[in-house]
Amino acid sequence: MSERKRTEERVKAALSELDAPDERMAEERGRQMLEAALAEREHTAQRSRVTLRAGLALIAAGTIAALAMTPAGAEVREWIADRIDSGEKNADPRLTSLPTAGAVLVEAPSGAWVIREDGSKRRLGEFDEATWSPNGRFVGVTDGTELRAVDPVGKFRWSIEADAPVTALDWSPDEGFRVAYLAGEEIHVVTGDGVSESYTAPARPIGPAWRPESEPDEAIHHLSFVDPQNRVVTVDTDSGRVLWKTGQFGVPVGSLEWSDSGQRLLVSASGFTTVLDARGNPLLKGPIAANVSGAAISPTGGEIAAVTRGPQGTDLRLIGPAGEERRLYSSGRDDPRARFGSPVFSPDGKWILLPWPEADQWLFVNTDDRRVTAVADISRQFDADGKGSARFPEVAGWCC
Amino acid sequence: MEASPRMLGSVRPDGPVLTSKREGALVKAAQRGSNEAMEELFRRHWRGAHRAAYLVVHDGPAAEDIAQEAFISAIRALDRFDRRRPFAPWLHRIVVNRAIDWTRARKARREISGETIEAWDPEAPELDLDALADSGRMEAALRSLGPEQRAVVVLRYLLDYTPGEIAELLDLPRGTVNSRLRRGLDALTGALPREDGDV
Repeated sequence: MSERKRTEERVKAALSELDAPDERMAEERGRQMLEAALAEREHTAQRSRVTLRAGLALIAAGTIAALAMTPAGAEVREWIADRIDSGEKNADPRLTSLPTAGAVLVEAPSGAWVIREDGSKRRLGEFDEATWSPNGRFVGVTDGTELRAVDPVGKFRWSIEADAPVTALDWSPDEGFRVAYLAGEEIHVVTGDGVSESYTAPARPIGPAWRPESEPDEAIHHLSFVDPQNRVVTVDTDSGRVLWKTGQFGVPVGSLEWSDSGQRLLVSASGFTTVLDARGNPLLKGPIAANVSGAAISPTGGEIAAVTRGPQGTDLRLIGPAGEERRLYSSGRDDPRARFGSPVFSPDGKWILLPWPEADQWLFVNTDDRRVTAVADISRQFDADGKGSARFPEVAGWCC
Repeated sequence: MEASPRMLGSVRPDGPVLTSKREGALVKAAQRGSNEAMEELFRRHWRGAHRAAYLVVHDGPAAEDIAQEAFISAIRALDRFDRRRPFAPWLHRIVVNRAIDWTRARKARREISGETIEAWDPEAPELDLDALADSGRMEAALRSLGPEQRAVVVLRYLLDYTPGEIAELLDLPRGTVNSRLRRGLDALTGALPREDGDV
C-alpha cells in the first residue's frame, strides 16, 4: 500500500472516531422531528382541504397523546400538573446569575440596565428604550427625540436629535455600521457613528430588523420593516432598492425578527405568527401556531419559541422547522389565563427567558431538558430608588 | 453478473450494507407514503448526516438543526426525487451545502474586536498542534481548514465518496476537489496519532 493510501486510511479511521456531541439524544430528537414531519405529510395527504394551522394543532395533540402513553409521557403529565399556581413556588428571591453566557438588557421604569452573567447589574441611565449593538459593544438608548449610543457601562459615545420621538432602534449586524430607528411615521437609517443619514421611508411604528449579512466581504445593509400598507418590505438601504415585499397582511404586523443565519424572518401579529425565507416567501402555509401572544426565533433560525394560550393554560412552545411542537412550559390548567411576556433566547439558544409579569417572576427555561429556574421579585430588583415600581421591566435583549 | 454492493457511507450505525437496488425500493415505498420506509432511511442515514454536519460546522446544536432540516427537505421533496438515483448523495449534498452556508454566516458575524469564532486560511493553515491534546488534534486540524475544504474532506474520508462523486455532488471541477483533498490531507496528517515505529 502506498504511503498516501496508508495515510488516507489512517485519516478515515481517525475521522470515524470523532463523535458529534450528544449523538444519542440528537438522534432521538431527530426521530421525533421525523415522526412529526411524517404525521404532517400523512395528514396533508388525507385531508388536503384542512389548513396547515389545523394540521399542526393535530400534530401537536398527537405528539402529546403519544408522549402520554410512554413512561416519559407520565413525567410530562406530572410536569404539567405541578404547575397549578401563579408563578413558580420555589423561585429564587434574587437574580444571582444568568444560566448561560451573555448579558441581558432591561428596560425598567428606573431606566435601562445591563445584567451580566454573574448576576451583577449596572444602571445605564433614565432612558425610554435600549437595544444592544450586534456584538454587545454598545447600547443604543432613546430619550424623547434623542438617540444616543453608550457603551455597556453607560459611557457616552455619540447622539443625534430627531424631529419626533425616537423608538425601535436596531443596529446593523456588521457591528453596527448602520442604525435604523423610527421617528414619527418614518423609518430612518443613520451611519453607526451618528454622523449622516442614509435612508428614509414611510413606515408603520413596528421595530425594523436588519438581515444578518451572508457575504462577509460585502457591506450589505438589508433592512426589513413594515410599510404603511402593512406589508413587510426589505430594502438595500445603501442604494434604496426594494429587494422584495410581501402582500398586505390581514392583521397588523406586530414585530419582525431575523434569525442569525439571515435565512428566516419571523413575522408576528396579534394571534398570528409566520416565518418567511430570505426572499420573503412563507416557509409554511399559514400561521405556525394558534393564539400566539409572543414569539422569538432561535439564533440558528431552526426553532421558534411561542407563547400560546389554550384551555390547558398558557404555554411556552418550541416549534421546529416542519411545524413540530414541543411544550417547554405551561402555566397549567388552574391558571389558564396567565400572561407571559415575549420569550427571549439566550445567545447560544439553549435557554429562554420567559417573563411572567403577574407573578413578578422571570423563568429561565432550558430548551433541551425543560429545566426551569425561576427568579422572584423582579420589579423590586430594578427599582433604583427603592420606592417600588408599578411596571414590570421589559427584557430588551440577551446578547453575546 | 450483479455488481457488488457498494457501501453508501462509512458512518452508518447498524444494518447491512445497502445496495442501490434495496435503497431504491425504500425510496419507492417512502414515496408511496410508507412511514416505515422513511424511518428506515432515517435510521440508515441520520448518523452520517449528523456527523458530517458537525465536522463541517463544529457546533453541536447547529449540526443537529442542519441534519434535521436536511431530512425535512428530503421528505418534502421526496415526490420529485428520481428513485433511480441513490438517496444518500442527495441527502449529503443538502447537509454539506447547508453546513457550509451556516459556517460562512457565522464567520460573517465574528467580533471585529479580534475575538474570532473561527480563524482559518485555506492556503496556509497555521496550527500549533503540539499545544493540543492528542484527543483533540484531529478535530482541531479539521477546524483549521476552511468550510469548503472541510466539506470535501468529510465527504471523502467520513462518507467515503470518490473525488469524482464529490465533484458532481458539490458541482465543483474535479481539479478543485483534488487540490482541496490534497491540502486537507496535508493538514490532517500532522494531527494523526503516532504509530509504532514513528520517530
